[in-house]
Amino acid sequence: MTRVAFQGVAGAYSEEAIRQYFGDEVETLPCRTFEDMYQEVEGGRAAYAMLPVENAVAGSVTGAYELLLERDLRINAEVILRVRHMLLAIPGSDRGAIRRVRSHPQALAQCQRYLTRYGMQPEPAFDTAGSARDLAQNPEPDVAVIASRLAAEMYGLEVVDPAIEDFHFNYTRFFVLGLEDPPRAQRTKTSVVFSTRHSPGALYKCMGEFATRGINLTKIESRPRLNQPWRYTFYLDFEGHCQDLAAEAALMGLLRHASFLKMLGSYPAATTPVGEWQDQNEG
Amino acid sequence: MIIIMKHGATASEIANVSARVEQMGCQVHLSEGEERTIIGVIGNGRPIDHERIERMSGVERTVPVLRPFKLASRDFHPQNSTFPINGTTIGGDQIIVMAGPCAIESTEQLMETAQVVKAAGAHALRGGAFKPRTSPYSFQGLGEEGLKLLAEARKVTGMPVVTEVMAPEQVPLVSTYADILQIGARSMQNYALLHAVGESQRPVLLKRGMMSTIEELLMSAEYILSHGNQRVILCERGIRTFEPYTRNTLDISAVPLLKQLSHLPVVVDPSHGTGHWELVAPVARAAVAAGADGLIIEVHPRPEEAWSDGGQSLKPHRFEELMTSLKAIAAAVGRRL
Repeated sequence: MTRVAFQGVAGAYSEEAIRQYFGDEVETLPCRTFEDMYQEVEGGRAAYAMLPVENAVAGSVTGAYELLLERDLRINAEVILRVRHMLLAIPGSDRGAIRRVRSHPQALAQCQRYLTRYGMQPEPAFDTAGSARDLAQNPEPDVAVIASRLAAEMYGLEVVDPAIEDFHFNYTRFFVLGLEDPPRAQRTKTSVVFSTRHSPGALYKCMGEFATRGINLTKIESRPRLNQPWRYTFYLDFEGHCQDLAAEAALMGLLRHASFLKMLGSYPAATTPVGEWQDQNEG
Repeated sequence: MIIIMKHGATASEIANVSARVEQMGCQVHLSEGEERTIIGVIGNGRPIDHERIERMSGVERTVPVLRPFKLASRDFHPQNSTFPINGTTIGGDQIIVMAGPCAIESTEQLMETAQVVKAAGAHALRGGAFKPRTSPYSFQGLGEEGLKLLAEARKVTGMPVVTEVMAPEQVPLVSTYADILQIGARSMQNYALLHAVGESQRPVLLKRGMMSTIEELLMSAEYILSHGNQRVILCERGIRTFEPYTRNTLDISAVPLLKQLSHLPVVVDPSHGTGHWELVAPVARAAVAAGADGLIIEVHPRPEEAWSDGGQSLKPHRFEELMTSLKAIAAAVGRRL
């Protein structure tokens, strides 16, 4: 059976992403850190890794982009997961009795309005599913956790409230990483990272290579380059495959202005189900 | 080290090699040929794991570069470097002639010279506003006033202008007036100045120091290139020897040698190289025959009245004669004027 590594404990949102993309016929491999997850794939103990890269509300995931640059796994797919933060407690709990809520600081931040409305005290924990597991092992009647439905099922907790996130477009984008490139799909996206030379207009010229060829950019993000202070790298996603004639020419042009360019992969583009969050009511 | 990519290597393959080089803490210099792409690697002093690079997709082989100059070397950039200067291209088939007075003296002198050299077929106008003189009591140049005259001459004649910059802090000022920044022989190893012109957005004419070796000249070019300015023109202008008849001894062998070692355009200054107007035309012809990409020649309407270097300046009619004879020589070596 295909093994897919993820960071976190069983029931993490990353594991939900694995289930969404691969279905139930895969074995999941929990890892303590992103780094460990990379090693599992590089060492051949897992076929793929599920790496969260950005959240529609909170922005980029620290550490993920640096690994994409420093290590050489290839992006095989992108997965967009609608993150549904659920309030979980020991079975039979009443929402009115809950005083404290534990979870990963990012999950707490994404449910801040809800917690304030019900007068619940946030308590930061190492991760979402981990706090569910710990609560199940040491039940406390006035404590709830924020975690996934998968975590509720795994640890036998009750879903007190199934949608407590402040924003209904709470999507997280993941990359499925593997050792090889995926076969070509019909609708593809390509991700690259580059750095410019220190000359006036360098970034403008780099972007111009795409603009003049009518290539649509879907994301650009600058991050500090972790080998020198005040140097930056630019992460760029565009529509199309790196072997398309226009993309090949744009990449060659980009290389002329860049101090380096790294291809992270060309992979099938995922669609964000826009209608879904627009149709929903405030929870 | 240079990395030679396979014929037909894809942009992705080339990109990933560039990324690996960067991961190793080295700098990447890309050179695209008609046949294949070459990636020059400038190291950080630590040994480079070339086998790791050679295993990458699209890589044919790696070759160590033992010379101290990298960006200036032909290994890094097998094709001749060419770049446009106001409509003409230097480094290509055409031989570029830059002519004008040693020093800008007055509107009349500069305009008159500009018109005659243009009529004779010169491509660019030279003229000094900041003059590095051996004696502090000699004429030091008109300074910014001279630059303004030069800009006016450019406007009237349409010729690009080349003028010397002597100090790093002058670079922004001179850049606003000049098309090409000249680094004089005496400044060739002024590293702060090389750094400053390296960061400027103007082509640089780099003259060989009168006591400098070819390698030192190329290392000075390397300074400019390494600060991001790829438009460098090398200039042989004579070196000091024990021969007193000539002002300097023009090293004609420097021309083919520089063309062999480097991809940068090479021009010759027969005026300073010889110091005598009678020698200027024969040596200019020799330079073109030897493969120079251009010449920089001093012309003065009345050399006997010149404030500096009158003895090595050509009169307008002699410059015209020289231009005519150069056409034939250029054609003989497969070039054009």
